[in-house]
Amino acid sequence: MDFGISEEYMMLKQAMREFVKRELLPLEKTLLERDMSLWTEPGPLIPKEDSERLYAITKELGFWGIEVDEKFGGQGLGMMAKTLVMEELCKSYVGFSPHGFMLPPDAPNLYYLDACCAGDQRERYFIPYCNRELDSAMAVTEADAGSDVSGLKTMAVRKGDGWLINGTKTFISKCDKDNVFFILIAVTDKEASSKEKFTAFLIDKDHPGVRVGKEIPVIGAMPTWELILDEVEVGDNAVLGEVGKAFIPLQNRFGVRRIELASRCTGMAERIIQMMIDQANTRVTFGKPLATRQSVQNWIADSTMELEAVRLRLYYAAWKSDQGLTDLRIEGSTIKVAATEMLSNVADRAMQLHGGVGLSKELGIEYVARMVRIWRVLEGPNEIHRWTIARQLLRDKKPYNPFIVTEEEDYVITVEQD
Amino acid sequence: MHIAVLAKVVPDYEVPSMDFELSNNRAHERFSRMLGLYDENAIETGIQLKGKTSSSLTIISYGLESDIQFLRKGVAMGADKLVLVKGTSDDAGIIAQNLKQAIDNLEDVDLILAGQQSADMDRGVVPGILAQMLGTAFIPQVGYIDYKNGDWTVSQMTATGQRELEFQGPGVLSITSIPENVPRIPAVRAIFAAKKKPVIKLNGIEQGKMPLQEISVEIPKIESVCEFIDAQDPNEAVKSLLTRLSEERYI
Repeated sequence: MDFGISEEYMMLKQAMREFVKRELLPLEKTLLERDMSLWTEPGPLIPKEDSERLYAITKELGFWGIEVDEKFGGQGLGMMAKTLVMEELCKSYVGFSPHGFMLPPDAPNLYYLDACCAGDQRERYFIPYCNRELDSAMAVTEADAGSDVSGLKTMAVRKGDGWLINGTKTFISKCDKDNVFFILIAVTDKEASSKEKFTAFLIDKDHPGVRVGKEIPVIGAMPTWELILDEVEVGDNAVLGEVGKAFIPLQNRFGVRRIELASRCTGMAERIIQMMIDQANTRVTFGKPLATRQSVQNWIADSTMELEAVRLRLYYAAWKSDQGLTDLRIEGSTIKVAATEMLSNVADRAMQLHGGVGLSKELGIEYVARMVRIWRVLEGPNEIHRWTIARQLLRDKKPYNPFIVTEEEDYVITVEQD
Repeated sequence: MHIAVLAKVVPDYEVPSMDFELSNNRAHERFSRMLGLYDENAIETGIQLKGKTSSSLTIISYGLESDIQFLRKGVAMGADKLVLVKGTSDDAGIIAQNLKQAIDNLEDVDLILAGQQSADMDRGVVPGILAQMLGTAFIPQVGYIDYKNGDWTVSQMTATGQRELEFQGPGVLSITSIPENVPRIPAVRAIFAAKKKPVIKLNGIEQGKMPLQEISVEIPKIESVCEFIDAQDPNEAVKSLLTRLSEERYI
């Protein structure tokens, strides 16, 4: 086993670290102040002119599409490289929140689109999406259907040569963006099994009958809206993939997302542990630094042990993805649960260690605690992921097997025969 | 045209001095290593000149083979190749002699840039000694450089002003930090291309030692004592602060 990191990967980390130091850390105060006024003054967490500058710099540096194939304008460096870059990016509050700054394109949707786009969809949606001319949002969740998509009620029925769609989606992101299109999941055969029941449609935000409803305030920066589809008529060219087959590529999309989500958590946890170390070494109470108190030592030690356990699992999942293994359901679920719960614990200990300052909006740990609380629900609640893991193991009647034998070239001796 | 930039790998200069620790009179091994602060300014200046004058750019360093991984950042920034002279001496004379050996080996160097001073020893003497060995002009604290028809025009930046100088032929310039030479962040593709650029390793020589011996190395202990100044009236607070600073001989 090789736990070494290549010189190039190390330099990649350092390059992102430098970008974070120069460009993102100075924006943290702005982000935390904006977060406080989000519900009275809706809008982005950092000013548009700053976002545009960050997009321009990261594009020039080649940070767009680190894991995305070169044929789509990405760097083709794989999930391990993406994970290392994400960890560094997420050591800032701005990079940590997908609503602060995010490196385009959003790869899970990109791969979903690549797998399913047909005909002129590639020119209309996929290529503009790769170039950040268009943005995309998934529209799956409904009031009666979250993790259990079998409860979806949005219907798409045949009307002439096309489809008539009616329904209301909820918790849909990016509805405030002008250039967004939705990957909408609707029931096309309510009698069929879940693998045949749902179809994905590409729906423009300004399509007749599409209406953005009310924004839904939650405990942190997760701007989402209701999306109402009232007698929306589309042609067959709006169907993404095969009719009735939305379910399987949708699951693959979530697998990639979970690796990314976990790297957000490990990156930020490392930063918060650094804050804990600094506070413990400098804060003096009753004549001694906090660093001498055993509770404080335990908080730092436990946080480190939990972070590093998750980080190794995360790197393993990223490595496995880079080996071309696409079934990452157990790995994705494992790191999603472990990473979000780890960061919840670390942020909670850090707030306790910092005392009143830890609770302040100024320091930002409470911002992290609220964001990660969202993530324990988002992308599938952690309980569903535990269920996924257990169900697979119980079905296989065996514990999880992490071992993959690497392929090496055989040492061949050729013997000449008379 | 061929530009050479001298670079040194140093212990992490962002470690607060109160946290710094010595082992065998040098920075403890636990500190990570990186390119020197001003050396990165010199590399950035070199890359900009390379673009303006269609030159080639070589980074030259005296140090350990394990330094190559850190020096490669300079290659990723835009240099064409790397020359490492292997050695461990801290003697400015020996270092200059080894750098001269590398420059002589390259044969066609037209301009030599260096950081104003290293981030560990802070001496800033090696470029001057090297210039003397090479018999060329040496100009310290250089900010801006221009090249026209065989003439180099440079701006020397000091705390009190700026001086314009001109010279012809090879020269050694030590580069200071200005807003225009903030080191670029290496781009992703350049990072992966850097490993394919040539690295030349030369064996070091022990010539040129200065007639001096190191007796001891110490890092001054920094004690922080916090004293609050009553700030009810800002004018009185400023007066009190100035008085205290004057009493303690800081001003």
